[in-house]
Amino acid sequence: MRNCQNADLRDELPDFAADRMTGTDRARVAAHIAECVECAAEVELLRGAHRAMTRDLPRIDVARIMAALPAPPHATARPELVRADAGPMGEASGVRPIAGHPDRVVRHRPMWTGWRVAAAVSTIAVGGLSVAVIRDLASTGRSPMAGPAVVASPIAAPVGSSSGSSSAVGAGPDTQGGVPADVGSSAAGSASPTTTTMTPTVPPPAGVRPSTAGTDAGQESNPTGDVEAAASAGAGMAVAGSISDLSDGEVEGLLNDLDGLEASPSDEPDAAAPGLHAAVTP
Amino acid sequence: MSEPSRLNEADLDPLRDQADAVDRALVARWLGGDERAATLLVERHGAALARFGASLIGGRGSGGGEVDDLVQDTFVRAFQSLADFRGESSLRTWLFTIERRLLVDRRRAEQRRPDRVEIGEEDAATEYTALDAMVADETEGRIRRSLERLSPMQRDVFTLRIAEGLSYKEIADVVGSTEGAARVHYHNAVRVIKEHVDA
Repeated sequence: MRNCQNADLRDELPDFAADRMTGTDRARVAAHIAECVECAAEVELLRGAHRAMTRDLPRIDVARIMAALPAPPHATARPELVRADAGPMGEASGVRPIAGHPDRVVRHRPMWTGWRVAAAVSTIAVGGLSVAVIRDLASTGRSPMAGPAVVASPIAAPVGSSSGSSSAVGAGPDTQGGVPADVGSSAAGSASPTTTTMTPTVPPPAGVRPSTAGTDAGQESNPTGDVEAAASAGAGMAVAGSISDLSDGEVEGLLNDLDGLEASPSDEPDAAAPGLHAAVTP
Repeated sequence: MSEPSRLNEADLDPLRDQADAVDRALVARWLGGDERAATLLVERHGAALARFGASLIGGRGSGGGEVDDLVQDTFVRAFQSLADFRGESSLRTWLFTIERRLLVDRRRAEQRRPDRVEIGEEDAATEYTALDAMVADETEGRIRRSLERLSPMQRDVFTLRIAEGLSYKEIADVVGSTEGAARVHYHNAVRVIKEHVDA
């Protein structure tokens, strides 16, 4: 049993034994130890324990630990800021300001690439969604907001140029992906980007008119008035408004001209012109 | 009677507050994207975690990679949730808490494999015998052996108090106990060690 009743001072013995006390506090404990044999013995015991616990410790491999740590949460923002300040030359100039920390540059490059991929995917998604909405509105004839200009935007580019603009590139793959969803309601058969672009602009061949199994559904869901409204929505393209005035010969002539164009499959109008079929049909 | 002790604790506070302020600043810098702050934090607390880890694991881990793995896992776990660190305790105390919980989980996993536990105990005795041969001070060797006689809770509390200088309040936070219970565990540990050394 302990004889020393100075419990508060005994609580300080570990700090005294480990040399964590200074000044008057250390002197006060030392004075007590000089008079208390029991506390003095305990201090010696604790000193031995402190030595035993702090000796022969395994070395810490800081590099190994650092390699296992996660990246800082806001690390992605830093290289972007640096690169923006570095100018428009991109990554080569962006590396310079943080050249003192090459590891950081290397580590964040995938993040930068990820943002670019995300931006591209977003562009494609938005473009595809726009085309899908436009096509859906055009098929149902409820597109007063879309107007001819909106429709013409994704339409004209692939037809006019084989290389395509950025919007055409964005709309292309998604158009292909979006068409199957629309097939049941508004379009028939397989569709290519050009198919979509040709839909409102190209008059269907007269001989193809009966082969509209897929267009029947479109006709059923679209009363004549709606179809005409859809056609008038595309009146800015000048073809839809006057197509009923053309004779069969004139229509055939136009089709022949179109067949002469490159990248214009002969079955395109058949694939994606149900609305116009309805408009042309008296 | 108790006033001198409180004053003494208060005298220690400025140093601790300064260390805590540095830790908080480093944490903020790391959260802001500065990876060098992580290096500094690892360097500041790695040794203490290894010391406590060696005590937690016992003799079988003191010379091998088990302590290294435990320290690394502790830092990984800590940095994964560093954004949630509120600074209510010191960072070191928080790290000790994570380290101890990790080892408690491992002990529980080992207890599901009885043969592993028995082998571990034998290995501990063997390694301690080897270590004792290297220890010049006979008293220190006895103390080392006596530490193995402590219960896990007593050893944890004793290590945190002696080697790390944590207060009983901080120890209670680490081991998930009360300040009074931590004090009792400490004094019981001292008694066991003293009895073994004097025997």
